[in-house]
Amino acid sequence: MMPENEDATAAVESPRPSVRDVFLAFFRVGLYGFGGVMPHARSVLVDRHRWVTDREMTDILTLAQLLPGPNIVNVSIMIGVRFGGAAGAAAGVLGLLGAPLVIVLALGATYLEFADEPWLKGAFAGVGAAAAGLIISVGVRLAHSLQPRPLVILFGAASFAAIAIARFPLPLVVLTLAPLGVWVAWRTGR
Amino acid sequence: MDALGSAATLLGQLAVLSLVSIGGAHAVLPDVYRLVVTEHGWMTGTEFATAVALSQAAPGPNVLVMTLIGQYVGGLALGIAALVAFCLPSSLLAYVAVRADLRASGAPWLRAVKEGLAPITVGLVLASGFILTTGAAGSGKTLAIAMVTAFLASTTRLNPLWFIGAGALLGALA
Repeated sequence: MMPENEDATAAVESPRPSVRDVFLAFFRVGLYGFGGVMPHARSVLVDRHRWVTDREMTDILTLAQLLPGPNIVNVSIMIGVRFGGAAGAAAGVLGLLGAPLVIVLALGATYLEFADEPWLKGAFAGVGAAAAGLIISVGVRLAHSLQPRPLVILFGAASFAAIAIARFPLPLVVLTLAPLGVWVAWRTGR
Repeated sequence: MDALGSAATLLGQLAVLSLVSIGGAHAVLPDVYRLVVTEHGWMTGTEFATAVALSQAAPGPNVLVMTLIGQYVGGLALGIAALVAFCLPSSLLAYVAVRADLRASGAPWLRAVKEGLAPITVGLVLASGFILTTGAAGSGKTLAIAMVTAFLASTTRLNPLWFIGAGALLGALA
């Protein structure tokens, strides 16, 4: 079920955005987000619309990262709830994912059409390898944002080894390490 | 396994992973990989990595990789259902959290949660990159593409699309 969306000229910088404004703002975020959506979310929500301050955005982002689920989807829910309750949250998510979903399905159909072409196999293998490298770089950048204290390294290494080497299932790893990590941070942080 | 059974297995697993996906879609890729490549052989490792690449090359959040995997395994409907299965449980949790007003910035417990989870998230994302690299790299060339991309993307601010394009070009040249 899509929110009303017949008029694309929603008011910019309105102090109290409607459900439709939320939908349109996240529609924009989703479509412009080539290679990383979050910077666009900040520019649309903070700079363009001024719905939240920079400080509020950082708070929202922190909680979005702590909760499970895609960070940007969590952001769309938090902003959506704030301005339109449950309907606002739904509008945020649908706005964010609707257009990219259609594009990705078209891409996927094209891929399936040509996946067996021998001349494309090499290209797809190269593309997949690049994607794997990009994910490593995301992890490296995240690692740089941490202080290299012994406990930080211990928990980082433990979660890496549990998945990459021991091949334990993620639910087991998260439900074991996450409470332990939070407890240790709580005990050592005061 | 029949098509309906495969679909139910994939969707059920995605719904469970949704609730433990600290670090987002990237963090759950090893478990999805195990399910669709290692256990059931619905895709090869290279096809899986290609799906990840397509989701990064397309506009929108990386979570759309779930759509591509679902679409590959069971067509258009499963592509849409996979995205819903992965997003809905965590979204409901986020909705409850924000309704409960968990924002309380600067609260000591929030700091502990943040500091406790951050290194685990890093480990999960790096593990995901490791599993994808070993799964996608059928040759020395693809391994080299992955490693050079990892290095350059970590040390420069180049748009990820450049690496996807270069990977396609280098992969096509035999």
